[in-house]
Amino acid sequence: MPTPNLPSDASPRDGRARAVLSRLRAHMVGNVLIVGLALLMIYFSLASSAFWTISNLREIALEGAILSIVAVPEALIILSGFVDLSVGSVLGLGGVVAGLVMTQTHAGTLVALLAGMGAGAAVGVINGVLCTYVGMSAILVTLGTLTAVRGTTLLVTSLPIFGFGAGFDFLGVGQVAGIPVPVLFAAAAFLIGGVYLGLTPGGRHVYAIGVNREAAYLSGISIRRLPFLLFILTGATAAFGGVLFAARLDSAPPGTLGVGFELTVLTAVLLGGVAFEGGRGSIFGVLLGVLFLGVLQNGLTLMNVTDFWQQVASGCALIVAAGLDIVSSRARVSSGGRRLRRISLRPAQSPPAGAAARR
Amino acid sequence: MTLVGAHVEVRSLRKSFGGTVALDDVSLDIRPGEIHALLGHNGAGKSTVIRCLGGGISPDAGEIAINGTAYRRLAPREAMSAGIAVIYQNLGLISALTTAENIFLGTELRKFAILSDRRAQNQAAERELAQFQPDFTATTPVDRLSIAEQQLVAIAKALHRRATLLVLDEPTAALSDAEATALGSRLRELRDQGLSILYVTHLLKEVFDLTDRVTVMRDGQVILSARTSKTSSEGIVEAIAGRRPQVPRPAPKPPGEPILGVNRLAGDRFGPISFELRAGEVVAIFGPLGSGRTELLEAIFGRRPAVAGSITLGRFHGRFSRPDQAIRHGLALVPAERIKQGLLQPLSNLDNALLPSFRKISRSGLRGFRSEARIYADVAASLGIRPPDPAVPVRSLSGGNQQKVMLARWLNRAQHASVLLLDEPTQGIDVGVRNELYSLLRGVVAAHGKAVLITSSDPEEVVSVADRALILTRGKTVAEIPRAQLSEQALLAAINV
Repeated sequence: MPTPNLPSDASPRDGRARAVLSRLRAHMVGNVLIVGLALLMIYFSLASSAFWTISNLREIALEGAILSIVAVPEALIILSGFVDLSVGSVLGLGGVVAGLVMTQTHAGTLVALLAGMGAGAAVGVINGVLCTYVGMSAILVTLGTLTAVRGTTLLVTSLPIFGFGAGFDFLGVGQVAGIPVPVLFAAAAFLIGGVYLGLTPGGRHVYAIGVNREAAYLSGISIRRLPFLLFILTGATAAFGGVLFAARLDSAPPGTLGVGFELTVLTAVLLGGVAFEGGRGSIFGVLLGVLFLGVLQNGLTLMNVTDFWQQVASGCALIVAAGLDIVSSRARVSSGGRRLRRISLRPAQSPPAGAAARR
Repeated sequence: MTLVGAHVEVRSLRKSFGGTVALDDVSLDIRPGEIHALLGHNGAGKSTVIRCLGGGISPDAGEIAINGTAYRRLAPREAMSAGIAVIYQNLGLISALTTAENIFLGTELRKFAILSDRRAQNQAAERELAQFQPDFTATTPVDRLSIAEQQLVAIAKALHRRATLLVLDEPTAALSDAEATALGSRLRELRDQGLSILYVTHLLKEVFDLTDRVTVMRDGQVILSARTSKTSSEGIVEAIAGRRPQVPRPAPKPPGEPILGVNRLAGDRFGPISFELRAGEVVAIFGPLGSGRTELLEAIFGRRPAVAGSITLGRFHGRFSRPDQAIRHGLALVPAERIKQGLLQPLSNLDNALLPSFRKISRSGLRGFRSEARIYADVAASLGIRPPDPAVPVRSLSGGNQQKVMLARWLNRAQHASVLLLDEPTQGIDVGVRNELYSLLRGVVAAHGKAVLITSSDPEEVVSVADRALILTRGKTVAEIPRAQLSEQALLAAINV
């Protein structure tokens, strides 16, 4: 194989595990957000003795869990060049539908869960058909369903539903081996999302469609079916998040469950370095985005900073992260030669462009 | 109406892009009240010259003198106010606006300081257009006009801005014969009123019908500059083609079995067209921009609908409605717009080369990283991709190497197309890599029994790479030139009938 500057850890003898490791390393090195997150954690641990406690760390994880479950598929949608703004309302719909099944029938937790997710998937089908097969603007369509689904939910029932029973509530407040159930689901979401994006052909296709739809189309990639399926997935997982929410609260208030949640999801995804125009970003970045938001809010709460200031801080963090991204990409353009050299030392299985972009 | 013509002298212009020299000491003298033809192969430097004139790019050295005032470089605004109007092939009109709004774009007439005075604009636009005796009015939206009519609007817009030099880039490429003739007589009228015109073309007929002087460029240099009446078409063809050594070609083999049959295929702007591609041959479709060559390739590939006719490919008979069907049957398209339609710029060499193959290489749903690396390394080595590093973003490669990555997409072990459709494959690629690509293509068809169909408007390229050529003008094949008679002179003669 006459390719002398092929780095050693890219040689055919290397396995998948090695590829994953080198990719993780590629994500970590020089990632602005990691540095920011570390600084934030150092600051809060100095400022509050309550920060580094098991119960507080569990609190952070629990707070971020449902956000993560929705942020992972949302990141996939955005990577493929679309966006789903309807997740807040779909989350409400999922919680309410599952709650209704739970309280009005004797069907049991699993059926309630599937009913909620089915409702969410149905919204995903509508979003997906209109955005991919019909070709309408994703912002427009999902903004429409955001409003329409909230209305639909309130038409179904305008009163909060509560009293689901212990089996159902376990989804929200239960623990397995000391770990809250929603956190386990979040871990599964990151794992599945990361494996899909990094280790499967479909993951590469997501990037390809997000970077250049026409090129992907001319290469025989299904530029409609794949995003369509991602819309359904996002709908179903948002509804699943709603079920977990309802279980945690032991209540599904149709007018408020998930209101504004789509913006939190977007903030976490974009903060994590996923480019809004698609084709650039990683699941690891989304994890960082969620953690950063969670740690920021938790730490500020510990320091008795009011909720209003927390919102100011979260918003500013997003803008600063986006600004740093632009600065670093300008630096990249102006020092093209040097960058190229550095990139060429990286392993064969190139990390997604997003990783390169924030180096 | 009398117009003022500019005297524009381009003096010793130099420009290089990266390592490629696009202009090498180019001088050009456009005198008031003349139509000046600018000819040359693709890549000869014509478009670089007109971009320097229009202010799109700044030359590395040399100057442009307009009526005696010398400029080192022209910003687009300066070029405009100095009286240079460049009308590129896309015409630069805004299709949603009316004729008058386009003519007045950026120089709108006002009333009460802030409102635009449409009535005054429409009247002024009508006056500007009157000399062309158009079939449309100032209030017609531009997207309802034919290309020929849009061209008149673009010219009227230039004249409204008091252009003294009109630069036209292959203005008849997308016009019918009748429209082309009409445009020619309009331009002669403008010339007679005093306007200077620089006219970029491929067609010798237009040079002799229309122009007063002619300049021929080749490889960034001016080869010939003379009064049109003092030149002959043989002289011009020789200046365009040059007498460079040809790329050595393997001895002709008898063509093999037919692989691809195109039977009376017709669609928007082309056809009906019939031809056959045999294993082991490279066939060129020779025709200028706007001849329907891209449309033809895209219709074969299922990228755009054809309205009639069929394709025979292996056991398939019919028309492809989507590219993935065509790919499954062994077709591959390398589009002309490499950056817009082909490459995933920020992604790596490996991603770009194996884009259609990831699924095939995967095992039990997961990517086969080891196989990917091996397949990529093999194809990168056999095509000579530089740098061969799989992780380099394809954006950082030269045009020629990007094109090799595009070829790698269809010539690797996981994805071997039996018929390659290449649309203008060497656009923007320097001469060295061009020859390399030609021998690659020759090697591919010779060794593997594949067939290649390329489109080209460069006769030198056709002669270098093709076994035979189909001549395409205005969407129809007008002739076929077999290998024995394939020469640049024959090709140029064939499109100039």
